[in-house]
This record gives sequence, structure tokens and C-alpha cells, in this order.
Amino acid sequence: MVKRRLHAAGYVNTGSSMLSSPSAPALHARLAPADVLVDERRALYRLAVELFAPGTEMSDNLLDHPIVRYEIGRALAGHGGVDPEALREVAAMGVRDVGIAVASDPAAAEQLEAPLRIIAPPGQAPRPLTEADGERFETAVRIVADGVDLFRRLAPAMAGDLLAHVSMLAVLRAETSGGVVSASSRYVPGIVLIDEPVGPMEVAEALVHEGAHEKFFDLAITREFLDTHAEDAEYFENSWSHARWPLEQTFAAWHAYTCLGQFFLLSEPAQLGPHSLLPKARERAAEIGDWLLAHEHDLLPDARWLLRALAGQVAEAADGVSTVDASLLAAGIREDGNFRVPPDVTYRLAKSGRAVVGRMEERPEIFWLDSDAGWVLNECRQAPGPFGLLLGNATEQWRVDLPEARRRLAAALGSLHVFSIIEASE
Amino acid sequence: MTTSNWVVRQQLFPPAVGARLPRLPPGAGMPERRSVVPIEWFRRMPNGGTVYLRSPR
Repeated sequence: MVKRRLHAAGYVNTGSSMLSSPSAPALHARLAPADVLVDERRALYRLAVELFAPGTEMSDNLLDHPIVRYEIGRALAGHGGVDPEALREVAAMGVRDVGIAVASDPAAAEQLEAPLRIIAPPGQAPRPLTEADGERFETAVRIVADGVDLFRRLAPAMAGDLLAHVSMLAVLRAETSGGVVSASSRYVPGIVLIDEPVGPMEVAEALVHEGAHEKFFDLAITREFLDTHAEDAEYFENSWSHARWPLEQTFAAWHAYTCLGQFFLLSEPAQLGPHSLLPKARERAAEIGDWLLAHEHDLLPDARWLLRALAGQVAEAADGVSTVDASLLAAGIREDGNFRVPPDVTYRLAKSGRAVVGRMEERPEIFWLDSDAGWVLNECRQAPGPFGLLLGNATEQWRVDLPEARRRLAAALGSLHVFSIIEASE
Repeated sequence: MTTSNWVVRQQLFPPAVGARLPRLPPGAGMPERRSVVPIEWFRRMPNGGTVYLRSPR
């Protein structure tokens, strides 16, 4: 029997919702292909660094480093600032590239102090295997390499989809792992930690499990998945360990079990490790998914869509709330107004064309803009934009008639204005 | 071989990986999104992880 942390009683599994799930990688790609999602994530972290240390340029690879993301995330959460030189130093660690970057630096225990501390079971102090462990480390690395190959061979689409979000893997010394089979943390996104592996299938399953969490972390910071309301939502209690999970963890668990269930259909039962969750994954995904469907009002539109699409259920025809909001916001826009971007607003464009905007208040505020709002922001960046001029340019840019351009422009301006991303003057 | 890693290796996935589009259930269009979406994920950074543990023997 296995168990997960944060657990708790009594949910009856109807199993009705997840009997024929469409492919998770394909549905993820409907929200955003993996390369698009990763690029947007980098744009967000790049913006965050700009907010704390203006003028700092950082490479994509540096921005992918889990410890760099940890430090930036801490700053965004209001715990300290960002020191670019310190980021470069913390990221200076040796890895072995075996299709995935495996932490190999003899100093990895110090460099990875944060994730090791965060995922440690009570009273335990996990330590990573490194090159200093000689042949024992070499053996583990070979198994990891075989596990990555196995994952890619059994489920190539899923491997590409999930491994895009895993920047580093650390192998824990078995005598220190304290029962950890695999772990990840949204506080240190991008790193997966696994127990010293015995066979490649253990590694492949861990990469599906934790890679699904990493995918979710990246979706949560680039799409509409959860807001702070999730903290006040009802807890889910699973039937197998009676753990109680907050909504965020419930969604993460459902997503991981759904991916594991789909991977199970592509794997060979004879290969499964002693702690494999694969045979139980579909049943557990169904149990959690049924609960989430009954509580989908607590989810934001992209999370609700992914839940329903993976469940093979018909989505709601439209999200009327956002439509009403958009027209209400647009009603406050005066056509004799001029619109400008305040000097404390900064933004970055992702390759997808989406813009991520930041502004430093007591704590940094970050927003994603749709393409209309991003275009308007860019138009108003250099000089105040009169509504009439913006409308003429929008008609040309969007290749729509005047009424449609007016509606879209007013909606974009209204949304930007309500979040103080633009200012209006007569 | 140990790669120097103040840069982690480049992502090796091909562009638009997994982009094969599935057939969706009838009526399951894409979600309607807001023009401006505040990201609140970083307002709370819970000091924990999703940790899969072996059961005690």
C-alpha cells in the first residue's frame, strides 16, 4: 500500500467521469503547445527579474534553472528581492545530461538545499547522490538514462509534453530518502527528486508523475487555472488514505493520476516497480475528477476546460461572467479620452504574442494580456493614444469593421484601465 | 561528462511538441478568457511539495 502526504475520509467513487479520456498531451497542446508554454513562462520570469533588477538580461537556460525560479518566486511572494549575480552563482552547478539534466555536482546538497528541505519527510534529511559517490552515482545515472529512453519509447508524445517542464532531476541516496519515492514542489518548480532507482520503469513513472505536476505549475502561472479563492474552497478527502487536500493539491493530484492512468495503458505490467501507482491511477483519477466536476465553480476557465475535456465531457457553452464583465468594463471607456501607460508599468512579449505585464506595488503585480489588450498596450506605450486614433489603427490591424473594432477596443481598454495598466485622460 | 551549468541544458523538445489536435467532445469549445488575467499564484508559496512516500513497513 502506498500513501501520499496531505491526506484524509469517505469519498464514494462513481468512476463515471474518466472512462474514456482523450490524450492528455493533445489536450494540453490545445491550451498551449509545450514550447509555447515554456516560452511564456520564461517571459514571466524575465519580467519579474526586470521588476526587481531593471536592465538585467538573463538567458533562457538560466531562467529555467529550478533554484533561479525558486529565488524569483520567493521575491514575487514578498520574501526579499532578486540579486542577478547571486542567481548566476546559485545556478552554477554541475549536471550530467542523459536526456534530462541530472544533478551531479559534489556540492549539490548545498546547492539544492531548498528543494531537499522542502520535500523532506519529518525528521529526515535527504541527500543527493553525486559524482563524489563514484560508481554508485554512475549506476544511478545509467538507470535514469534508461528510464528517460523508456518513457520516450513507450509514450513519445507524453514524454515530449511533460519533460519540457522538467529542467533538472536529483537522485536521493536511498539511506537518506526517508521513504520518498518521488517529489516535486511548486516552490522550486522545474526539479524532480527521486529515490535511488532500481530499474528504468521507476524512473519513467516518476517522470510522468512529477512531470505532470511541473506541467500544472507552468499552466497555473500562464493560464487561468486557480486564483486566491482556491485557498477558501472546500477540501477534498480521498477514499484510499483519507487525506484532505486543498483545491490546488486536489487538481494537481487529479492531473497527475490522469497522466499516470494514460501512461499505464502504454506500459507493460511486468515492468512495474513495487511502489507503482499505475494500476490504481485511473480509478483514483476518476474519484478525484468526479469531485472536481462537482466543484468546478471553484476553478477558473482553463482549469475547468481541461477537467471537462480530459473527462470527455461537454464543456459549458460559454463563460457568461467574463462576457458580462467585458461589456461592463467597456462601458466605462470614453471615446474622447486619451490613454497612456503609467511609467511604473513594464511588460514582456512572449513569442506567442501574448504580453505579460508587471507593476511594483507593495508587492509585484503580474497580468497576462490577450492579443487585443497587448496590442493596445503597445500602441499606448510611446505616447498617449486618443481613442479615435486607436480605433482607426485597430480597424486596420484587426481587419474588422468599425463596430467590431470599437467593441473590441473598448473591451481591451476597459480591462486594462480597471487593473491600472493604462490611465485615461480627457 | 559533466556539463558546466550556470546554464541548464537547452530544452530538447521539438517545436509545437504534442500539437496533434484531438477531437473534442461535442460542445467542448475552448474556454472564453478575460482580456487581462491577474496571476495570483505567487501570492502564496506554500512551503511544501507533492511528495509520494512509500508506506511504512
